[in-house]
Amino acid sequence: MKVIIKPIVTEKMTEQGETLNRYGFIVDKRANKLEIKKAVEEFYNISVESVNTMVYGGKEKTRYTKSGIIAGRTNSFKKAVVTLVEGDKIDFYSNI
Amino acid sequence: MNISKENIDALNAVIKLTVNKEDYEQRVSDILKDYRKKVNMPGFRPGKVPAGLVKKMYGKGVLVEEVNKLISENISKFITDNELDLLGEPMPSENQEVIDFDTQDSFEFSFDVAVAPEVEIKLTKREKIPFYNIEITDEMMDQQTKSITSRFGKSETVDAVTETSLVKGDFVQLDEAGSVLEEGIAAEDAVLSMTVVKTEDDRKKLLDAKNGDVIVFDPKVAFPSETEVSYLLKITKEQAAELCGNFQFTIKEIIEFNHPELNQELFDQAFGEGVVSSEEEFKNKVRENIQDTLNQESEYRFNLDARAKLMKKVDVEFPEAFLKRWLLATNKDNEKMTAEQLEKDMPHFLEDLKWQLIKNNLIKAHDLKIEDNDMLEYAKKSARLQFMQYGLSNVPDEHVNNYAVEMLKNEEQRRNFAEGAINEKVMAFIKEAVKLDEKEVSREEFNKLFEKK
Repeated sequence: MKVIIKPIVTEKMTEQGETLNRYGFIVDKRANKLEIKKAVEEFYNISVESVNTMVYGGKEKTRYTKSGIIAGRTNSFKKAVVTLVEGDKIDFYSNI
Repeated sequence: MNISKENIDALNAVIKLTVNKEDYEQRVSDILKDYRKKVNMPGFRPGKVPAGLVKKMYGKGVLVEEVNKLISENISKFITDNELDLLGEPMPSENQEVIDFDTQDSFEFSFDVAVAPEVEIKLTKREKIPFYNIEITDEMMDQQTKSITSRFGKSETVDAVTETSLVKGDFVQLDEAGSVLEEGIAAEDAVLSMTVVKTEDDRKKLLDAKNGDVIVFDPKVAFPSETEVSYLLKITKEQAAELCGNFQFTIKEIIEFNHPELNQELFDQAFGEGVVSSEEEFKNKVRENIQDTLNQESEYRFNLDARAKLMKKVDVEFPEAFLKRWLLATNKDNEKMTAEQLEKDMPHFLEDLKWQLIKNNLIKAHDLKIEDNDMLEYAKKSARLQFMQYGLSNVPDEHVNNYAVEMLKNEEQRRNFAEGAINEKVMAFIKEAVKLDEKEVSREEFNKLFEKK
């Protein structure tokens, strides 16, 4: 199971990264906090202090088009906000 | 931050300094923070660019800049704190390690400096420096009087030609038989000066001639050079060279230059109203004028002598290798400044440098200072000199003052004047400190002094 799906790069998360040393990821729904901690530590080579997780439910989406109504549902996902030990940092832009 | 000095020898030293992370970190991050607010990057709203990204893009540049600033600040502080007297400026050492700003945290720099050699000068009354006073001869008086009066002279037309007249007329070429040559050279309104006519015969022919008289002569014989002939006849030099035979000269106008009489009117014109009221005073004034210019020359000579004397007294050694390097580096943009050129100029430069050291030593030892006032005086003096070059010897003080103030506003001029003023002070000081060996010399003897060099 691949735990980390992608990092969350938004203004909100950047702000938190700089002030609170917290970074957000979208993770596999089945992963628990311990697994997430381990995955992040291994991937970025840092130490994690704590992990908070939350599960976002998918939303019903309908769109009216010429050829009738398209109805669907967005995916549900799990979001993890990882607080790092003071002094550690993750640089999402390191490979540009 | 560690800074230390190691002496290599008496004249060369190395300043070593280490810049640690603590020294620059704060400054760099402050600047980056500032950058973050301003930077405009596609994909981000202004001020919302992630700090990491800004650091990646500008971090190294800012770091280098800050470290540089730190170095120059600290070096100059070190120099002033330790009262080091340096020649030139500190130069990065030749065996400086290459610095990698990406990986290193603390940087080590070493700078070569040249220490100014100690110069000590004691001036006593036992030193003798010649000071030449130039005698004013009658001849000089005459010349000066003439040059003053001739400015106010007038040209008048007269009836007969004299030794000093200018004669205006038409030239027409004649053939061998003495009749007018058709299609020959003809020049109208040529002006010839009696003082240039070379041969006695031709001069006699022209003397006492009247308006309308026709005189026949050979210009090639009468005038000294082909230039003169070609100018008179309005032909080229080559044509003039081939020219022979007589010309007929018809006088149209005779002009005589009159020196004005020495009277009150002239005095007023020359020196301003009411300054001079008699011939006696006029003569004194002229003498004063000459004295002024001669004094300047004497002063100049004294400067040279004093400089030579002091230079001989002091023997110093210079860190030549360093100075060469420094000169090359500072004149990098100047294409003329090549290694060979430098080699040639070096003795000259060292002389100047030595003189500079001597001067600085005198200034320091005797607390010579220039104030704004001195500078203004000096500016005024040079302004007056400039006016004099244009022949304006009676510029009102107010005008000179304004001009001087105007000149002082220019930064470069100001520096020049400051330099000049301090030079004068030093010279005045030397003049006080040593015994003057005053000598009366004539003009020729004085001029010979310069030839010897």
